[in-house]
Amino acid sequence: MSLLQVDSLSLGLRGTPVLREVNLIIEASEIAGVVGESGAGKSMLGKAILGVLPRDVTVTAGAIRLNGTDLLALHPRARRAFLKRDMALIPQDPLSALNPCRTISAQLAEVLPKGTADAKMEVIRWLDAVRIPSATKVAKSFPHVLSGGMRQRALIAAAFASRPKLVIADEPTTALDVTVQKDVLHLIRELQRETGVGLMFVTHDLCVVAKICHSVTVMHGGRVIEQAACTDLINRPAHAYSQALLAATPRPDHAGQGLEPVPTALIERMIAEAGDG
Amino acid sequence: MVEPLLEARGLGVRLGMRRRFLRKDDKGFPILSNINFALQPGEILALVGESGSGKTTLGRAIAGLTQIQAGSLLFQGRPIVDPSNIASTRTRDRAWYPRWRACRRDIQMIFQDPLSSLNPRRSIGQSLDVPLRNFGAATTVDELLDQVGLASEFKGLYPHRISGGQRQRVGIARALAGAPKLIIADEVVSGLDVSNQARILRLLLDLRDQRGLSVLFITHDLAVVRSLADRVLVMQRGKICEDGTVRRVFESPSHSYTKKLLRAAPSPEYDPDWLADTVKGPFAMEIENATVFVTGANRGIGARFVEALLLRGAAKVYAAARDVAALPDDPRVVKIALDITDAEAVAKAATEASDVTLLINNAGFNSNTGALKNPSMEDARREMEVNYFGTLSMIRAFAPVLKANGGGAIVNMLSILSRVALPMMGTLCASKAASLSMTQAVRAELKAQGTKVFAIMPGAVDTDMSKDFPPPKLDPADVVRAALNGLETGDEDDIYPGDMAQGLRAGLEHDPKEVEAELASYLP
Ligand SMILES: NC(=O)c1ccc[n+]([C@@H]2O[C@H](COP(=O)([O-])OP(=O)(O)OC[C@H]3O[C@@H](n4cnc5c(N)ncnc54)[C@H](OP(=O)(O)O)[C@@H]3O)[C@@H](O)[C@H]2O)c1
Ligand SMILES: Nc1ncnc2c1ncn2[C@@H]1O[C@H](COP(=O)(O)OP(=O)(O)OP(=O)(O)O)[C@@H](O)[C@H]1O
Ligand SMILES: [Mg+2]
Repeated sequence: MSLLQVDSLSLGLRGTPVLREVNLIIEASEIAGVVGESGAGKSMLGKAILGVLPRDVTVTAGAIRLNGTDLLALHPRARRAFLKRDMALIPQDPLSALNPCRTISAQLAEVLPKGTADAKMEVIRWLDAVRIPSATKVAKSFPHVLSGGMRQRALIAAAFASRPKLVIADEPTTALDVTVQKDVLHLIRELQRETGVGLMFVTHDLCVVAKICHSVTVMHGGRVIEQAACTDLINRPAHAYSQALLAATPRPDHAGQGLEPVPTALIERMIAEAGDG
Repeated sequence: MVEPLLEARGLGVRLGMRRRFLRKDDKGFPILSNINFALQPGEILALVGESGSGKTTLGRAIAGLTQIQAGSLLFQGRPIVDPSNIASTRTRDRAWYPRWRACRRDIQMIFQDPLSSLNPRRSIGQSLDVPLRNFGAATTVDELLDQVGLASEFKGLYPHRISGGQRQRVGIARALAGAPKLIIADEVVSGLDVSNQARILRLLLDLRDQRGLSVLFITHDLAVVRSLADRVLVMQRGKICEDGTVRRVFESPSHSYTKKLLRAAPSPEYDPDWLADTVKGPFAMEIENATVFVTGANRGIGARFVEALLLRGAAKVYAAARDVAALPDDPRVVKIALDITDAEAVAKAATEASDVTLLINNAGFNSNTGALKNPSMEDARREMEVNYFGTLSMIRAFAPVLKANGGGAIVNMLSILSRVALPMMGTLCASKAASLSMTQAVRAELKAQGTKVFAIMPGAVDTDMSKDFPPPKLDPADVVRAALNGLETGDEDDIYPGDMAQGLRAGLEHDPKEVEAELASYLP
């Protein structure tokens, strides 16, 4: 049985499809990348799994199973309990995710597993683990005094501190400097190895995917375009769209790449082939 | 040779420097000092560096949005800022001000998210019309939109209705209204997907090729720099540490910081081992399994050192204090009664702790008085006795021990007051300055035996020693964390925990006299 199994999930926004028959499997101890351009539906997929879809977006078909339990069949309250215990989100926008009126320490202590002996110490240990300098002081601070990068790191700490089974990370390192990004990615992978959580890693950045993911799902227009092991997707992308995404990715090791968008003709062909505009 | 479009000579910017060393809390010190570079017409110059290094401040200074305090800035060979009128006048009546206004049309800045700078109540068309009219430009809104690859239908739309990539192009269109010669683009592609990013980069290249536009491209994304820019400036702590063609800098970086940045930039190649490949700095010292000796371990920073060392897996910690009663009970802790001013006791400790690989000289004394205020000389002598002679005698006793154990390291708890004088603690500063000087000498002498010598120079810390000092103060656990993290990463052997210390350090690099004048007001 897989940790997460999304079966043929479709979402609709007042009649227009947002996700179309998306299948995704994430095993425990796996980092599953989800990539694609803006509007591909990556965040929507994450929100559907977490049960936090916007009001007007509804599940039109499919199932989401966590360790075999069909989340969509659960009573909302039972689902929330499930969510709180087993899943955590590292959101795309760190500012909106933190409560401006409570200290970092209070917000982190809240997600620690019940019965944590010394919550204050544990919070500082987590802040230190995500390389926040002056962890003791930061713990006592309110979110607004922290820089974007610091907030992002605090949220990574919060996600893992709750000891979840599945973490959904939506662009977790986009706001960070390269050196910090590398540290934090390394840390995410170490934490993930130690705790055995499954991780859904949503990003635009194929460079990051190539370094951290085990498997990759490429999405476009609410559909899954290609699913493959990371090494295959990076070295032998099968679908023309995956190839185009890779070709559009700038690289630090040689010049001239990343100056052409994914060709419009290709997008038009994909839309035509999918048969629904 | 072509005349540079823009040239900075010894440019310096200080933000809120006055009266802020001892009061400031969270925000960094974005100080720029001695910035020199030239930007040629039609050149795309990238500016990279980590957050807080001063990239945006430099961009803003050039765009006239932040005041420049030193050096000169030349646009097309004519100074728009020069030192002669910096010192004497206030911003508003500076002689160059009208000239700068004239240049403003030629220099435009665009920011990361134009949503914040576009009026949400104005349509795109209206937002573009304003600068066109201000500049009295002959261009139409349609032409502007066309230049950035947007259809004229966009005129009627409102900012929140269009995508981030499209908004970014509207931002560029607006900057183009006055037909500028230089665009300063601050993180304009961060957060965009590859296609939208490629469209923006392509647009900048086309504007350069067709109109000879120059671009100062501020980013933290090195891959984008490689594809887009001709030349790159690398900034670290408010200074330019490397300047060269993109090819030269990426293929053979000369500064260690540039090397570090490049090692951290991922390429789209499958490599699961890449993340684990963290290259340690030249001063790296492992804490795990180290045998450590800590003086003054009974309270304050010393007590936090003992806790943190145990947590990080030190094999054994000799916790030394005059009063051993307050030392923690732990199987890995060996309690030692030690007054560091007692030469015999120090010698005995070194024989007893013959397996030490890391010596932490933490014990210190602060009389918290001025040099003349105190009626007696006793306190001043005591400070020298403990902070200077005590530390020196510890080092003399333990240097052979460290040598026998393979080199190891010495950590001296100094203070930012080792580098600046705070009159309200005049004599303490002298003793700490002496210790810093001695630390540097010892560092050189012990190099041959492979012993690394670290200087830790925090600002005010919240312990008994500084109980009357006004906040903000560092938490002692954070000082210890900064020190031990510094040892483990090994980038530098001088470690400055906290904002106050870093601000003063930057201030010293910028203008030591200014720092002295600032601290002079803190009288006993
Ligand atoms: N607090 C600050 O703002 C600050 C800022 C920068 C640097 N520092 C430095 O950090 C170090 C630790 O300071 P702290 O803040 O933890 O101060 P603290 O709480 O006053 O502790 C000072 C420690 O040094 C010990 N000590 C003093 N004289 C000694 C001697 N002759 N022999 C052995 N031990 C002696 C004290 O032992 P007893 O308990 O027996 O007196 C105590 O354990 C000092 O070197 C200090 O200069 C402090
Ligand atoms: N709050 C919302 N209400 C309704 N529709 C939305 C909402 N947010 C996004 N959508 C729509 O859902 C689709 C998928 O959006 P989603 O946010 O999942 O994209 P994404 O792949 O995460 O993009 P990005 O990389 O920009 O974050 C898009 O067509 C978008 O317009
Ligand atoms: Mg998203």
